[in-house]
Amino acid sequence: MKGLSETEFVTGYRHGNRRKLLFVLVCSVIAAVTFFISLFFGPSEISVQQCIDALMNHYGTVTDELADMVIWEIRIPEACMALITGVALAAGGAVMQTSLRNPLADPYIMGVSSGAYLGVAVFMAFGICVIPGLAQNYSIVINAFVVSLVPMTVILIASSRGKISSGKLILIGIAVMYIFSATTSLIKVLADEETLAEIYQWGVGSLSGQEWDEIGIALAVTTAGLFLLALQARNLDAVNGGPNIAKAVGVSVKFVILYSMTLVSLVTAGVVAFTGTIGFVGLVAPNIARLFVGNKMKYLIPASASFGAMFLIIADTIAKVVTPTGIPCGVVASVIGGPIFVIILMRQRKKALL
Amino acid sequence: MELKIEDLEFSYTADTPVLRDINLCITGPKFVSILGPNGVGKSTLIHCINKILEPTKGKVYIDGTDVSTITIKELAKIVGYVPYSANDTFPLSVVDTVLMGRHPYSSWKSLDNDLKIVYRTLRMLGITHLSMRPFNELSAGQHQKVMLARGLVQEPKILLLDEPTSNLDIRHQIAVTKLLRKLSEEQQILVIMISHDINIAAKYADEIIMLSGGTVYATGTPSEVITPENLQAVYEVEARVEDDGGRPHVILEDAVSMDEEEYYEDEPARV
Repeated sequence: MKGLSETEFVTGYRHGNRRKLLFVLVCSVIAAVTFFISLFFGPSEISVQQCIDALMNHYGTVTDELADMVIWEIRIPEACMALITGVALAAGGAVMQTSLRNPLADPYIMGVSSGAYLGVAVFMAFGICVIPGLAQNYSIVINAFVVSLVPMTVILIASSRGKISSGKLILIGIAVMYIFSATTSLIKVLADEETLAEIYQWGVGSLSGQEWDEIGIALAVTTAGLFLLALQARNLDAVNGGPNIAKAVGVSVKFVILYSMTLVSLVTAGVVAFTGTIGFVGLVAPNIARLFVGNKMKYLIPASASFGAMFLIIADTIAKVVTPTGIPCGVVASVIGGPIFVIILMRQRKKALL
Repeated sequence: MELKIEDLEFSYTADTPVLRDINLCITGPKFVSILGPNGVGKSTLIHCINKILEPTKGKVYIDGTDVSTITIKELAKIVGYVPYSANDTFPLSVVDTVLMGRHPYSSWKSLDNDLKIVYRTLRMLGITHLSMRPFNELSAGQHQKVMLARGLVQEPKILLLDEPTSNLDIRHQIAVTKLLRKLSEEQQILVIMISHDINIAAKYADEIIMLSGGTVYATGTPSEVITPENLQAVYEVEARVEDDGGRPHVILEDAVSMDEEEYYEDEPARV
């Protein structure tokens, strides 16, 4: 078989990498375009022209107060939240999968989202907040945030007692998720009708009703978290090779797993505390991105993030187009994304890399 | 270079050591083969050398440096490792798999140089045509070569291999073993390979370490170690050993029968 010359080898390698970056670029462009399209849809009846005017005039003279309010206080925040949530959950899922070496791992399965949900349910039903005396909005967020960190804490405690195996960590995550879900169900049973509706609403996940300062927090947490995770990209590749290989090339598996799992929990908690539980994107986006860019984390993290953002903003836009009153975007994401994912997996001939 | 192991002991559980009283001093460059029956602790021994496992007792020195005092990243520049089999959940391309071996040296700017080293190593092993292929689509023999390449780009002084020929047919077993011998001479490194095939080890190794009952039973040249008496004692097989151009060649005759009870007595359950 014909070998490669050194030039062919280096250019071939770099060319392959450029193609991976192209995937990131395409997803980002589609996400950006969909972002603008999504601004024209929503429950408020505002014409396209009004939307455009509101966009153009915001920093000049606002002529149409209502349109300006709808665009800048409702639609843009919602679209921003869709992008941030997509990025956070998808990149978080990619890192969880690789560090635990399991394509099933994602923030939802590992109990982070169900923890957030329980935190919210506890506040809504009993008015109990981990930091008492806060305004209602903040109490919900704080509760969601704190309880969603519980699975990670349990994992930290379990792993400090000796050997850490990824299978065991996933089982712990799933067990915690079940405990949380069961407790939430119990609270729902006990709750009165009105509270039940509120808890339910939060549980299906929604990107609407975001305040700018909430978006600021979610953005800050996501950006900082992903930056710190990106620094671990090469170490995560080594961990993916298995514990022995990782150690043999000088990487501490335990450190990488704890570091990345903690950050993923923080990043996920930073968004689900505001949006409610949005499943699926954390599982699906990384797995689809893997088909296009392979498994090297340097490319997989940005690819998952951009795909996740694209996925959620499209789902949210579809949700608004189909029913102006708004079915939750999490529902659309699962209903449309699920079959697409199954089809892609079934049609995929080659394993993993394209 | 010199690899020295002093009073090494390793146990997974408190009461039953897998390895005990291991004392070895190997000076290289040289091609060393570790022999011994199943479950005797061959892999455990090499894992103690590159700190995949921490010995329960005893010390490992490389050129006088106690390995417990240096980081695994520093150690990874001195000791390369080729595992028994690869089990990447999410496979990378061949280049990226091999590049992983450059991890202990890598920085944000080192990619050009790392790629150069990876290319040279792939060319030496004759597998540049596989460079862009996904690792999981390769054959068993190609896998072994890629994993060998990853160990070599660590530019180690000592290369540890855990049964690198276990999944290969006879032709590839000989080819890989010959290559390892050549590497130890050309690159002046100490190659330590766990082997199941006594005759291949006998034919190519400079030195044999024979383990039995969790400790070193015999060390020396193939002719010194591979004798009918040692084979009887360590493997419980009856064998003739003939001279094949100065090297021993084993012809198996019979094995000590193994009823179930005895089997479990001899083979401590691995954790």
